[in-house]
Amino acid sequence: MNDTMNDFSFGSGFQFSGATIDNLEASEYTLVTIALDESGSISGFESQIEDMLKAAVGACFSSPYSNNLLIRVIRFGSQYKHQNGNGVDEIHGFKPLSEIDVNAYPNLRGGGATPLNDGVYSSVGAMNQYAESLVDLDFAVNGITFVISDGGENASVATAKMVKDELKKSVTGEVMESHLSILIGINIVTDDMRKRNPTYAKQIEAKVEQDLENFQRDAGMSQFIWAGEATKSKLAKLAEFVSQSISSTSQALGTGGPSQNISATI
Amino acid sequence: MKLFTDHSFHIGEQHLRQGKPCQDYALSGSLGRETAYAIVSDGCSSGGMTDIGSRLMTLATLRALHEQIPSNDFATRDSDIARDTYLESSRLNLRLETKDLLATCLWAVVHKNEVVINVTGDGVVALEFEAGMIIKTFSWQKNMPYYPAYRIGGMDEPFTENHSDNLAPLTIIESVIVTPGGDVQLTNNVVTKGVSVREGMRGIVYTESIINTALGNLRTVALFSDGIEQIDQIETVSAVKALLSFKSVSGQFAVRRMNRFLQDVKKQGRGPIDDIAYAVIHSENKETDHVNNQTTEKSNT
Repeated sequence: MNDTMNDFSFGSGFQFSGATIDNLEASEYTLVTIALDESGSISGFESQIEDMLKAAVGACFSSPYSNNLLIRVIRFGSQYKHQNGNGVDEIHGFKPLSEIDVNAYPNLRGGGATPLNDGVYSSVGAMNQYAESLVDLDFAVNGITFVISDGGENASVATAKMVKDELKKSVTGEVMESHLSILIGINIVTDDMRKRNPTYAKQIEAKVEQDLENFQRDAGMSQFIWAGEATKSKLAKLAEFVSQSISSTSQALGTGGPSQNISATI
Repeated sequence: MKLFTDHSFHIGEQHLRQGKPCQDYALSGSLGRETAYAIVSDGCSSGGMTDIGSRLMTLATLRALHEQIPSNDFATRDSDIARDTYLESSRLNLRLETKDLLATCLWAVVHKNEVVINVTGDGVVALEFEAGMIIKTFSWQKNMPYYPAYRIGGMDEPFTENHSDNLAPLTIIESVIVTPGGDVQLTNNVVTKGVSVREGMRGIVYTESIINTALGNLRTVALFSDGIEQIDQIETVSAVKALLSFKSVSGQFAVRRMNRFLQDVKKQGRGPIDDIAYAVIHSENKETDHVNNQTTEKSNT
């Protein structure tokens, strides 16, 4: 923590940080949150997911709106339950892109269960609160949230209702001009598992996809994208999709239009 | 005393519809320790490339003000002469015509305990004090304001001729608006003054103390182009008040306020019919007032 960032809290025990608003130089911002599932099932895929995160954030530097982005990155897993923020660990709060060093991102280490509610609640709740502070000071604000997970909810403090209420608040236009929330499902079935028991592997894949799709629909997230296997090339495409979506959201700022779904083939 | 500056300009509905550029321009910033400037220029719609004219006017004025720093005498007419020299030199270098430079010039400098204001043309000046606001509206008859470029282009005579039917073609309306709840009582709060064509052509220069005996300490000096008077469904005073209701004076505070204001007024009507520009100097006197550590220079980067 330093004097360029401020701490905030919301809900019961959720915390986040954001750039000191008085230091912000632009008049409008797109808030971006990237939430990564760090549960045990991503074991073996950590470095690919890290690369995807670095590529996605790194690509934003070439956006014409790079000076208008404030990016927050979090990871969620039940191993963080004993920390402040429930099942969520904030890698960094809402920060201007120029202050982000993607090479300083910590290594991911899969472990624990999946507090998906906590991940989404932290993502959207923090964005709502920070956006409200910005809007109060006449900043124009919109937002985009990416939650990348390989499995359904099984370990949260936040309830489904809490998640739904925050998401609802974020899209009514009362807080932000618009907000797009995208749940991205990745498939962590290994080649080895697929070879040993292809039927079971397929069943697992289908169940994860279905669970996540149900979660997106029930929670009221804007979009669900099934990215498929967590291979290097798929994750590279996912990174491209994330950075392009951020760019489109920035471009839409000021139009006052509702959030539009972004079509993706990953 | 800590000074914060910012400025904003926006195209009006008419120019947007006609595919013309915004012909208003504004600048603000620091001229050194405890000295800040604000400049606004409004290009004539029926002139030439006055979008360039208003920018050159603003930049030439800034250069001229910089030259006054050693003497700290901003109330002198020397800066007008220097401004016109830079303007003419730019015109010649760029092979522009006089009609391209037809633009008003309003500037203010806050220095030590006073604010110097210089108005050539039309527009609005607002001084916001702790307990109220003084708004001065400058308007020329026939909507035909004086532009410094007339002098440069030797067109003073036809301009005078055009206003020969009126002894005081420049009208200055001064309104004093006392903040509700303040203990200051003012009975006569609107004064209208007619100004002769010669006096108006010289430019109106006046100096105010940053402490008003009736209204307290100066908080904000703001200069507006006459676009502030042409916002659909919005009275000038309401528009001035709205554009000065800053919730914070960090970063691009005037840009943010203008953008939010435009969003709001477009819900009620067509928004600004003419281009609109404003430049602001905000002063904070008490340590407790400080919302941040930004300096004038930083706020305007």
